Amino acid sequence: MTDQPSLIVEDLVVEFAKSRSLADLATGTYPPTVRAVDGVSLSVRPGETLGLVGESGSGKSTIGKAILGLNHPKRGSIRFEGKTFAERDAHAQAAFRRRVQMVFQDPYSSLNPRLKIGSAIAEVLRFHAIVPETEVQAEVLRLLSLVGLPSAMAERRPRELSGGQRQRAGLARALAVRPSFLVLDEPVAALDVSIQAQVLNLLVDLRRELGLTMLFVAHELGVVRHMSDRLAVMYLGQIMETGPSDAVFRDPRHPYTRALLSAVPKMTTVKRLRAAVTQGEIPSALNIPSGCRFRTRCPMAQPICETVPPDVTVGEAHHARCHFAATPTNNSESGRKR
Amino acid sequence: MAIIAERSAPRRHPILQEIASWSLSLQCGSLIMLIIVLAAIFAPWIAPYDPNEQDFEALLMPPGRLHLFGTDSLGRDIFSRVLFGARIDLVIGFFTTYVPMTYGVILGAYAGYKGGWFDAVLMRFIDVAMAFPFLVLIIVILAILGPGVQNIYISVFILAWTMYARLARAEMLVERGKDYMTAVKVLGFPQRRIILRHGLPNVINSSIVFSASDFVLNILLVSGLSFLGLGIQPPEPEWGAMIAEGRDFIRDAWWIATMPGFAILATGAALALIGDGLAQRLGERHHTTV
Amino acid sequence: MTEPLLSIEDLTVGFKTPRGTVLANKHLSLTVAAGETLGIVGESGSGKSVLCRAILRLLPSPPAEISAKSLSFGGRDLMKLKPGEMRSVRGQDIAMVFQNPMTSLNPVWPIGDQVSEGLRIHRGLSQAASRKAAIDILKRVGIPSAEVRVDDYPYQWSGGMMQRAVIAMAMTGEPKLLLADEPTTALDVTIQDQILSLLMELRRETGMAIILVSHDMSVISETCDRVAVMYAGSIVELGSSAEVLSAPLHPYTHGLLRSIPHLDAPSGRLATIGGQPPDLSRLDPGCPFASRCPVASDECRALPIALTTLPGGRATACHFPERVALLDRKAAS
Repeated sequence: MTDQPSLIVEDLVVEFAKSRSLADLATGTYPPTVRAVDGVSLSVRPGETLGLVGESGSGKSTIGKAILGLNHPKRGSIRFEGKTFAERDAHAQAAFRRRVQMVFQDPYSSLNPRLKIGSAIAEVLRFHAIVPETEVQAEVLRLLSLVGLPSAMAERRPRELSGGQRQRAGLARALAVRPSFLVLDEPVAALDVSIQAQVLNLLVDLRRELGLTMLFVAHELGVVRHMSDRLAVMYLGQIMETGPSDAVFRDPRHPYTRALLSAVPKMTTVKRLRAAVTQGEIPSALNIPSGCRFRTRCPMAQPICETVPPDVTVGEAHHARCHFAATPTNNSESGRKR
Repeated sequence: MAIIAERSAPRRHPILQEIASWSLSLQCGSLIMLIIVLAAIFAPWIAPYDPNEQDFEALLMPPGRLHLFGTDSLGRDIFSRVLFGARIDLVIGFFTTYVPMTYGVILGAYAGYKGGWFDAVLMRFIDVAMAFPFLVLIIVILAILGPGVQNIYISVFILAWTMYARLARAEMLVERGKDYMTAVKVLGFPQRRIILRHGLPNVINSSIVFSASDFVLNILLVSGLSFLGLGIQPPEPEWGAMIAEGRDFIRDAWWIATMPGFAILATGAALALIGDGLAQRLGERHHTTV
Repeated sequence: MTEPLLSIEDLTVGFKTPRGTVLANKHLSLTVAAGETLGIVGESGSGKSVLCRAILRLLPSPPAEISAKSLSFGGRDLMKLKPGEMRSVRGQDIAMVFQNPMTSLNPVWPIGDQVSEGLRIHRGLSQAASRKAAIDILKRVGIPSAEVRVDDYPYQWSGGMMQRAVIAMAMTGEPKLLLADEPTTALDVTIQDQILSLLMELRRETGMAIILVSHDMSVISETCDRVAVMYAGSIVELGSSAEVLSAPLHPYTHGLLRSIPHLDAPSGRLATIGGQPPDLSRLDPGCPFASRCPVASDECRALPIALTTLPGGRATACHFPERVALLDRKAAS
């Protein structure tokens, strides 16, 4: 295993714009564009799991999709194993599709309702010629058992499966091409707590067995902490803080990370008497605050925050994008407030 | 690796179980349609007389023992003619419905998935085509090409696909956002496979339901055109043509027009029931069996 | 002891399906005191949402079949009320907030109108007075520039703001009991934090009781005095949230608590509850959790069990609650 990162994202910008309406054409105007991702750089080393956490509008799902070539970045580059998608020829592009796969959030729309589970997986095996035709059925059963589904499931259609089972089936389909890199977009958000635990354990086991590198996108901090070696906290299209999971959780240096950690409800015996950690709504992506984008909700905001904050290194591979990042966390601030 | 315990559902006789789960509409409609289709298939064996055999001894006979549905002005047995007419009407109905449906849904699926100029051009064409009254357009085409079954087919094939394209496109606009469609894209499948193999089967439900009504409407179309003399020419026992022939005798020999009329009615009713039942049954498919 | 505000005795809610009658709530009994917050925690299929709707008699009667020994609120038996009387209870004495704010608001009406409608109906205010009161209530629930935003349509607001509007609508009748069915599940973490604080503030101000339904134990632990854990249509444990969450007396509660990844817990395998949630139309006679319970024995599978109050005030529906303590030792070994 080399130390060269599997995935390097540099200064990625992804925008979405509505198509021009007749009125726009007539008046010569353009509809406003939303910058879902506004200059994000990150890297993932082989075998590592990078957690991408953020609330609505953070851009975390957009990054996942960009890595898979599902949207068209305006600027910046995404290099997987050294090359961008565009730099690959047709053959290498097909190979890319076998190396990088995605697991989706919604178990109810991630499987083709008309196909039996086994057929869906077999189709993938055949299309990519993963195994010879004679071994396809056996490989389907092997994949099902890998994700903890009984072989009878091969003959079932998605509507006969529960949410957790569907997630496992989707995982089996993604693993059929034997990827080395998985983008998981909120894979357990739609599942019950007890099923969530089963699927997370499965992912941990598979990661170990198959040597998978993962980009784990989620909004639940506990889940992300559990799964990730490193963490990137996103807000309104930018990374606010990034570093090893333990470091970020124990010593969050960005006020937004601290706010997230404080806001998460915790198992406690003392009733909540505190006021909310943040005030106000998450700004619309059409109206991103100038300078530090978190300043409109930040308890520490000062006039200097109207200028773009620097990316401060606060520890080993631990960065935070804040004017005040150098201040270590005061333990009474990091979320144990009552 | 822990294997989850699963709830097993006993599955016997999948086809029988399926039919048992149908609503009464679907079961009755299917039964009636089955009878009509079997009558059409076995007409040569069931029909007591040759449909074109004229018997001058038995002109304008009312329904009775010898002639179940009576005879017409040329002594031909109406029952036999209705049976053989079923072959004509069902076949025409089938092809005028399902052939345009095939390329209609494919065009609609492509348009819905790709969007862009293909979608825009197709939709404008459909809008224009649907703005004209269907029957008038058909008559115009037949006036140019001449009457007859072949030309009916040609004219219908030119126009009837538009509704299916619209329906399939609408469903595809919803379906393309679903994760399984994204998943197969991520798996590297080419666009054609994604649209035809994964998208198409999931966007044809509304077209299938519509085809039941379309079938009836097409039979009525052919009957109407034959009634007007633009479709099937005599002496073919097409139901509409038979109604036309019976028009002059409606007061004295009501059975000549009425019997084929009942046949159209029965077929239409069966298809309407099937259409309703299908709409319900196909809607159920997308929900979990809990 | 003072009369509880809400008292449910032996509530059973069944739904007629082609596969037989499914019991979504089975012989449920619980009480809520005035001003108290009761949390109801459970996963899908536990029957928690059905319970809320049953209290407000929102379930249409075929296919639902509701029976209860009594369902009394403020001394009146809700089961015995005529439809008109029940309507005056809804919104006025008991209000409800639902999970998805986007579908709780009428998309074609301005928000102000939706709030003031409640004011006109419940407090009999005039058009002008209700508009002013609506602005005040919207300010109270934290809508910035409420005087201007009162005429906005739902699509112009974010999820958090819409949920505040829904809460505002619920407060117009000055209810004594608020049923909140997963009110923050669809919201971002920081917004959830704001909404929960808002609910707690409103409760302190008005003294209303709250039944908070959630799948998230931490939310319940922070906000609720007591908690009822539901599984397969029954309450399997009931007690003060501090006690239930620190020392559960039912293996399901224990399993649920252990399977949540905590922010400060070390990574490693999560303890899981094996198996699948039960099929409500085909339940075994004994304890519904027996097939997934790590300490179940034959009696558990055969003998039915109801929620039994133990000395000390806690209640559990387990034949052998003492075995729950063993689970920790088992896990540690």
